[in-house]
Amino acid sequence: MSQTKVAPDFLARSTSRKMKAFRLRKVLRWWPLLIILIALVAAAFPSVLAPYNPDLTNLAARLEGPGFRYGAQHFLLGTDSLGRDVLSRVIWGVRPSVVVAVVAVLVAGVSGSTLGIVAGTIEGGVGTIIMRFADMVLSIPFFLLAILVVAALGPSLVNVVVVLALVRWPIYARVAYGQSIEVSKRESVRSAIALGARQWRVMRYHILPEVLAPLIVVATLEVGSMIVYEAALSFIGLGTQPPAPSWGSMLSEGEQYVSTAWWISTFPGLALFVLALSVNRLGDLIRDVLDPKS
Amino acid sequence: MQPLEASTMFKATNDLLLDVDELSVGVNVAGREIGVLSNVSFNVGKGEIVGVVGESGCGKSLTALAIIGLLGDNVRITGGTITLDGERISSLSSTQMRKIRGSRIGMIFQEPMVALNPLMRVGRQVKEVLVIHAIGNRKSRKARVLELFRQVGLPDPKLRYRQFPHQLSGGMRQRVMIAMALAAEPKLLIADEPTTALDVTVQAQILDLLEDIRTRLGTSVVLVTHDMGVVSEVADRVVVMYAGQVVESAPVAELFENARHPYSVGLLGSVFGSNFEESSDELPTISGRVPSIGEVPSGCPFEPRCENAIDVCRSDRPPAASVGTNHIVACWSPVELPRMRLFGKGVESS
Repeated sequence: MSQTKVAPDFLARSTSRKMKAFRLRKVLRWWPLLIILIALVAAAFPSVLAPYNPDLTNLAARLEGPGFRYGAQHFLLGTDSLGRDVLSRVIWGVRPSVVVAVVAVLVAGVSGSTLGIVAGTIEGGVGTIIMRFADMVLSIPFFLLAILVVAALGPSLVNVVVVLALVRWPIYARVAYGQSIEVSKRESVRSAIALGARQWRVMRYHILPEVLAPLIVVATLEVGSMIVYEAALSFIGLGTQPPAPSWGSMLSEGEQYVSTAWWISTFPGLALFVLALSVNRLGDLIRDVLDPKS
Repeated sequence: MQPLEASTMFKATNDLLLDVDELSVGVNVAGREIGVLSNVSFNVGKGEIVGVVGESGCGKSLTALAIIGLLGDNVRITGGTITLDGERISSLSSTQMRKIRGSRIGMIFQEPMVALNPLMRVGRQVKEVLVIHAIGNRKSRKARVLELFRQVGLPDPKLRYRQFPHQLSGGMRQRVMIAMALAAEPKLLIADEPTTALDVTVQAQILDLLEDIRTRLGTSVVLVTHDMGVVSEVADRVVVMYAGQVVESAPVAELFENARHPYSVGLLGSVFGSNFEESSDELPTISGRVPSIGEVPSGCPFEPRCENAIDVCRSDRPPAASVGTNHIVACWSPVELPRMRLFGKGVESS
C-alpha cells in the first residue's frame, strides 16, 4: 500500500499520458461521423457551400485544371468540358447520393425486416415462401434488373430507389429471419403467446426489439453500398439525368477526358470513395458498440 | 379391483372446472403419426390444486400445452376432449383459443430467468396482458398492476413497476410471471415446473403463494412437476403420468399412503427413501429409462422397468380401475396393500 503511495512521479505522469492518448484514440475512431456530418450539411445546403452555380457553363473556361482563375472566379478543382465548376458540382452531387441511399435503405430495410420477422415467427409455409422468394431475388443480377426496371419506368431518382429497394430487401429479410427464428423459440415469447398475445403483438414487442441491433448495423453498412450503387446507375445513365450534377454522371462525363483532364472524374470519384468508406466504417463502429460480446 | 365405472369417478359436474377426457396427442414425424399421449383422463375441480407428476419426457408438459392449445406445428390432438367450465375447448379455432389464453387459463413457465421479455419493464409486461384482453383503461391498468404486484408479494411494487427483469431476483421474477398469469383473473392456472429453477427456500415461498392464490381467489391450479416434494406440499390430488399415459391418480394423502402403481411407489421411494423410518444410506432408484417416442411397448409401458410385471403386462395395456375413493390405477399387478406405512401427509420433502 505504502509503496503505491510513493510511486515515482514520472510513472504516474506517463500513465496519465497513456490514458490521454487512449482516450484521444477512442474519440478519433469516430472520424467517419465528421465526414458524414459534412456530407449531410452539403446535401442539405449545397447552395451555401458551393462557390458557384453548378449548372453555369462557361465555354471560355472549359477543361481548365484545379486552381484556374478566370477574372474574379477561382475554380479550386478546375472546370469540366462545359466550363462548369467541378467543386460546385461535387458539392451539389452529394444530395442525390445521400437521398437515394437513405431512402433506399429505409424502404428496403423496413420491408425486408418486416418480411423476415414474419417469415421467422409464423411457422409453416409462409416463411418458407418468403425466404425462397428472397433467395430468388438475390440470384438476379443487379444491373440486369436495374436496366429492366428503368427501361420499363424510365430513368429517374425515384426509380433508382425502387430498383435498389427491390434488390436489397432480401439482405434484411435474411438477417431478421435468422434472428427471429431463434428469438421466437425463447420462453419469453412463448409465455407472451400463452397469455393471449396476437401474432403481430408478439412480433412488434417481443421479436422486433431483439432483432433490431443487427438490422441497424446492416442498414448502416448498406447506406455505403447504396451510395456506390446510385453512382453506378447514374454512371451508366439510369439514375440522375444531366445536367443535374451527381457523382456517377460526373464520372461518366469525365471518363472521355481522363487522359487530358483527370480532375473532372477524379474529384467526384474521391468524394464517393471517402463517403462510402466513412459510412462503412461507421457501420463497423456501431456493430462494435451494439455487440455485447466485444 | 373392479372395472372402472363412471359413478366411482370424481365427477361432481357443477364443481368441475377442467375435464380432460381420453385425450390423445400425436406427433407427426416424417409423415408418420406417432402417439405421444394416449387416453389421458383427469379433471380439476374448482379451487383445486392438481399435481401432474412423472419423469422428464412422460408427457406432463405436453398435456399442459394441449390444454392451453399451444401444441407445436406438427403435433395435434388425435382423440378425446378437453372441457373448461362446460365448454369444449379442444375443438376451438386458434382465434377463439387465443382469447381463452390468459383470460381464462393462465400459464406460468419453468424458467423465470428467461420467461420475461428482457427488453421490457416488468410493469409494462404485466400491463400488456390487460391490454391484450382489453381490461380497464389507461389509468386503471397501472393501479391494477400495482395491486397484482402486492397480491403476489412483490416488495416495493412502485419500484418494481419501473424495473427490468435483470434487476430482479429469480423469485421476484417468478412472482412477476404469476402476476402476469393472474392479471386477467383466469379461473385456471397451469404452472409448468414453476419452482424447478428456484432455490429451495424460494421454492417454498412460491408454493405458499400458489396456495394463497387458490384460497383467496379460488383459482384452480394444474401443477406440472417432477418433484413429489412439491406435490406433497400443495396439491390436493395427484395424477401420475408415465410414457404419455395416466398410470395412477388419487388424492395426495391417499397416494402417499397407499400408492398402488409400481411406478408411483418407485417415484415416492426415490424421493423419500423406501423406508422413511430407517434412514438408509442410499435412495432407491427406478432402473432403466422412460421409453422414447415411438418405442412405447404394446403392453404396459412400464413393464420393462417393473418388478411386479406378470405375463399379461407384456401383451395388453392395463385398463384404468378404481381401487378406492377417487383412487384410480392402471396396472395389472398393483402393489398389494397393506404396504409398509411409509408416507404420511406430514412427510414433507426431506
